[in-house]
Amino acid sequence: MMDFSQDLVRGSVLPIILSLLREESMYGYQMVKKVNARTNGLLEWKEGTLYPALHRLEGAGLIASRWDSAGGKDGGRQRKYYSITPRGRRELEKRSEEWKLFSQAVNACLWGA
Amino acid sequence: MADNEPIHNKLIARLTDRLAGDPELQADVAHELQTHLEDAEEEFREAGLDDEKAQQEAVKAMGDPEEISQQLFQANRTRMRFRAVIRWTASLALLPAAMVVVAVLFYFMTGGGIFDDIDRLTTSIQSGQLGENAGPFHWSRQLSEEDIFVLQGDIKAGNSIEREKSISNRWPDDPVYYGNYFVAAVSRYYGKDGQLRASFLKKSMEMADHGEKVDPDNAFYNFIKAGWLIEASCMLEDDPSRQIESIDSDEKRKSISFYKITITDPVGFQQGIKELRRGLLKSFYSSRSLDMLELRLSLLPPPQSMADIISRVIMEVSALLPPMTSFRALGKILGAYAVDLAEAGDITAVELARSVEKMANLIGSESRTFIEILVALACRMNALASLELVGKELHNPTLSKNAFQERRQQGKFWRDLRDNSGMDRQELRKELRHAGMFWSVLMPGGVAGYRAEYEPLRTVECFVVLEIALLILLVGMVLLSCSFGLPILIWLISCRRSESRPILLFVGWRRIGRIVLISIVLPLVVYGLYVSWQIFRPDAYGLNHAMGRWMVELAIFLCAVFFLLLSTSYRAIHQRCEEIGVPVPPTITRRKRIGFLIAAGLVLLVCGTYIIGWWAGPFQLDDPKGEYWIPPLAFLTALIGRDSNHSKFLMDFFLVLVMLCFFIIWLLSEGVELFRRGRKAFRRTFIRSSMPILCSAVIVVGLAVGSVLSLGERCAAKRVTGNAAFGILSETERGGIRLLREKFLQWRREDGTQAAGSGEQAAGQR
Repeated sequence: MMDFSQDLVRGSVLPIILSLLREESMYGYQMVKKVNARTNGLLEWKEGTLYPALHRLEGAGLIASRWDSAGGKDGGRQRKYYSITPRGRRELEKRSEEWKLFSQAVNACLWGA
Repeated sequence: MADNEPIHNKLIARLTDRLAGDPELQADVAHELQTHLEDAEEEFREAGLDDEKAQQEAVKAMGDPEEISQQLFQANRTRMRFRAVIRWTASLALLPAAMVVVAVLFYFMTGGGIFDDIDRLTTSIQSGQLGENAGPFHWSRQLSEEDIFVLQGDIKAGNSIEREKSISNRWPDDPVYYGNYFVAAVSRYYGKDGQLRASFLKKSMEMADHGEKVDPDNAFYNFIKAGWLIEASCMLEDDPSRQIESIDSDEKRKSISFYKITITDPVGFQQGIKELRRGLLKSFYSSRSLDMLELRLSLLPPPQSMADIISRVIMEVSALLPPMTSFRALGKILGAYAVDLAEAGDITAVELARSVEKMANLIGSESRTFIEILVALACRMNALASLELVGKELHNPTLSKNAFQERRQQGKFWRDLRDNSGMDRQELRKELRHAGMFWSVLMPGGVAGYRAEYEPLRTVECFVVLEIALLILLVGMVLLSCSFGLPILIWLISCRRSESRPILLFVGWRRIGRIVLISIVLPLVVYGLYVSWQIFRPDAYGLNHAMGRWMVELAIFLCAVFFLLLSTSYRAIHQRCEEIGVPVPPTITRRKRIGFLIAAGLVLLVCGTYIIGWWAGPFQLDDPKGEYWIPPLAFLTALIGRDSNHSKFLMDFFLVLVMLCFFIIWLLSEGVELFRRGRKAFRRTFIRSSMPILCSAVIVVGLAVGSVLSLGERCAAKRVTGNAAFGILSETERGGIRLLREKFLQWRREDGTQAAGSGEQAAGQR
């Protein structure tokens, strides 16, 4: 497992959350598990930091939340599900484009490709 | 998992302690973190760790509590501020806002004078006397001080009679003002038997004497004095020994009894006859109260709004009618007295009977109301019948025969007028169903060819009912909010500093929107459309026919609104409490409610059957007695075995009562659930949090009521304007009543010569 710098992790949280929610509505723990699975544990979040990020995104109107008991294993347990808003989708497109350009620029500098 | 709880709670409390300023948000975030921790622990346990290890790992995976707590606070700071404003608005400003909406609405409604109008109408209906100038008069446009005074009198005066008196006092020489006051005052002195009460005779006589001075050429005061004096000085009863032939129908000839009298005060009696004779010398007859109505209506500018029209109609409906019972008695008593005289061989009997006929002719030919014409017809009948008997006693068969012929002619004229009015009686009965309550009160059924416009009256009365319905809804909402508001206020005061202060939940905009839409907007729109269809369809039914159905529908509507409002609010708060981890009562399953659901189904089935049956026809009885009171549940009525109007009304009332009882039982049975053990937190949260919902509902209902009324008013006013003068003033100018009046004019022209002729005949015979 690699220890990424905190700044790098913090900067990537927003596009990661938005891209996860682009596919389906999810609750916090589900997101953590999904990220861990997709990155093979490379990007292991401190789970607690996810919630302030979610609340910030919700406050900015990029995602919306609702309590629901559907979809849970045990059916009855209430969980807070987050879903992406149209504004969130636009923001995600913008951020993805930004990331692409940024990473290309950084790659060019580092390896001169 | 019970062992984990202390660590759980400790961590969660630490993570959320900076959110304490917003207890609901704090609870919400805490619940979210708790579900996360539970999920994590479960996974660790599944991986083979024991409980204690699993929870330690879960807590560790969360990261640095201090940092997360700080981040959570930062992330939610703006939201907390915004929510604080909303909470402040909900707990402080929403209630005053609701009160302002209600106050504004009431102000505008009272500004239109509708409450006074309704009050005036109900007072006059309750007192059984449609003759009350009962209160301050509202009009949308400015009138001069003098005009307003003529319309309402001195408003500081104690009662309606004093108000009418104040007008006459201001213009003491005006015969119309005095006559109007006179009729208003003496109407109150009549007993239930339709006779002037003896204790008021002296006072009434003085008032009539004064009236004669103010209005010297009017025979009205003399006739009414004659009526009082004669009625007070004798006793009247049927006399089977005096038989006359009935002229009710051409086919069936039968005899009926005439009257006899016992004079108890000969002086008063003779004085009464003197008054009658003095009256016959006068040039005209007028009770003046209709003149007053005409004058008042002429002062009013053309109606601009529904309130104006309602005021005008109510003014007409509650017009003072002269007390005619004394004239009616005069016809009977003097008829009987003339026969007494003839039996004693006194030929003045003929002249006396003719005097009564002349009085009838004078009243009939100058009357302005249908009631006066009816009384005049009856008086003339009595006079002619007595002439018949007088002729027999005086051995003057010509006199007797002529009188009988005249009586038959009068009867035939009346029957022809009724039968040839171009209207089948069955048709007329059907039409009466649409005419409305005011119209039915004013227009006796089957009146000889006379048909007044009923459309304006019906529209007006339906509009008044709609107004009352919406007001009941609004008042109900206000009462409901107050019943929640009061305990909240007491709590808030009692637990100002304690920790157990209930949380004010914000259930979310979407949920509030759903509550308002489902429980207020939709029912109001449906009811509004239904009511306007009822009022504005061309063959709409009048309240005289459909009052019971209106009541049942109104009860269903009101119960439905309150039922939906309370149950959707309960559901929303229940859900929100569940979300933030407040222990909630279990959701009641349909199976547990089976009894309630069956009962609700039955009640709705009965009401639905009633309403559908009402419109479709089977429950509309064609019983002629049923005209004024409501076609009810025919089958239930049949079960009871009675079909009187009274039992029909009771049926409708019973149905309304069942609805209301059912609603109250539901309210109590569900309410009890809140007071079970362990529901304290939920109960308090529920009651405190329903307050803003109810206030929002009051605001929405207030706005809806305001807009529905202004829209409905415009529609109704457009419909009524143009034929608003349904015309109590002009009723003797129209149809069969005009023909009757013309007939009386003809009889009056004839009676001078006839009287002289019969007098000569009598003298010649002697």
